[in-house]
Amino acid sequence: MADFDKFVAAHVDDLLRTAYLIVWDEGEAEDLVQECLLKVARRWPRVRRMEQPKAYARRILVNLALDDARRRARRRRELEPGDATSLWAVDPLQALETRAELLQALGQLHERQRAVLVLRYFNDLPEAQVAEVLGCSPGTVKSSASRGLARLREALQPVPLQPRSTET
Amino acid sequence: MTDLLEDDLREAFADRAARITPEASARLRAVDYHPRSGRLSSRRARSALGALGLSGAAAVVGAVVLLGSNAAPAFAGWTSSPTTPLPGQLAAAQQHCTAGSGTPVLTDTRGPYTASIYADGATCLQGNGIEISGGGAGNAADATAGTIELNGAGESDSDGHALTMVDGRIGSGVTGVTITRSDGSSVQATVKNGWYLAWWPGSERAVTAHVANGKGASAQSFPTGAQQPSPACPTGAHCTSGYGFATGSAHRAGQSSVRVTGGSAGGR
Repeated sequence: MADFDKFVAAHVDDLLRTAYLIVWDEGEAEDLVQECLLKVARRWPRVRRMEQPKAYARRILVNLALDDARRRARRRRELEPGDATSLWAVDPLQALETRAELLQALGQLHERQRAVLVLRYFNDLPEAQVAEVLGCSPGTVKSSASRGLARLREALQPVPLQPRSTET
Repeated sequence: MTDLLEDDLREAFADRAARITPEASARLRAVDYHPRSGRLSSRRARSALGALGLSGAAAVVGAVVLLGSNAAPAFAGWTSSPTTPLPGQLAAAQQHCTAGSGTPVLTDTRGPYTASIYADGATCLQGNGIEISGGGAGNAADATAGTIELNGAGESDSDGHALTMVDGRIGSGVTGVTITRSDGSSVQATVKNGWYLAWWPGSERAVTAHVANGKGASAQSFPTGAQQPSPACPTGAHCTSGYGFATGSAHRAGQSSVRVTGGSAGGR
């Protein structure tokens, strides 16, 4: 397992960052990476013979993150019925022009949509590889990324002030 | 042409990723993902059960315990004899446990819990918000006719949660296995496809395996092997300790370990 230790040392940072950007929480990300590496360790005799062990680990990680996200979303729905606030229910007077605001908008995307963007723009994977990781078609990746970018653009548009009502 | 937003996105992700602390990476590098390891404390598992590594003859290469917020703390619903799986129970267990491992060679259901063994000796226990995996590497050797391999592991954590499991290959002719524990009680194992498995909550040791075959029954004693006492768990830390034993080629009788897995409860 010495080569597994080397694998961990070489890739744990990247896996942790990827998980963090998808789940948006450092503690959760750390748990997920640990869970992922334990699964990889369990199958290491097979994984080490793969052409790209890191790609395999990343696939496990992303799937764990998205499974977790589904569980969290289900729990939120159970705990807060009828409290589904709009994704963009933010202060309309707040201008969305800075990096911080882009991050805020990213943080409000659904995890799966964010995962597509993370894999595409943080991990720099081509659409075909993103599709492999997520177990979907390249076409789905393309449309999902496009929708995600559109939502970000929408969020970054200056929000026009609403005219005051003229009713008396 | 590259979209400006795409460029911004790359930079924003890089900014955000830079927030990861070096300590987080260091903690992950420090985890022992190898045989008999307990699991590092996590926010989800901190107050939960210790990890378990299994399948002695097939070297154990990892273990993980995940308890969700709805985990039954004392294995509520566990039974000493296998039960018939509820509709969908096995599929749910497979969904949690089998990614990349294929179909289990044996599944053992006890109330809401499903334990599985895969051809490479890897094991998984799932149910009631619990998921425990023990890794195996390579195929275990066949057992002698009419006998079983005596492999097992037990592990507990500093919160007082414990679990014990025995499993292994069976020789030809074996039709049933019943385990007698150190408190004198019995647990009936599931026997299937050349394997057996039994598990129970708590740390009662397996003492004897009563092995039924076509001609009658015989008894095999589990190694009592001097289980070395685990080092003490430092005050305020979360520890997982475990032991394993096997009579197969990868004999580990008496192996004992303790892992300090985190700071005081509630903080990482």
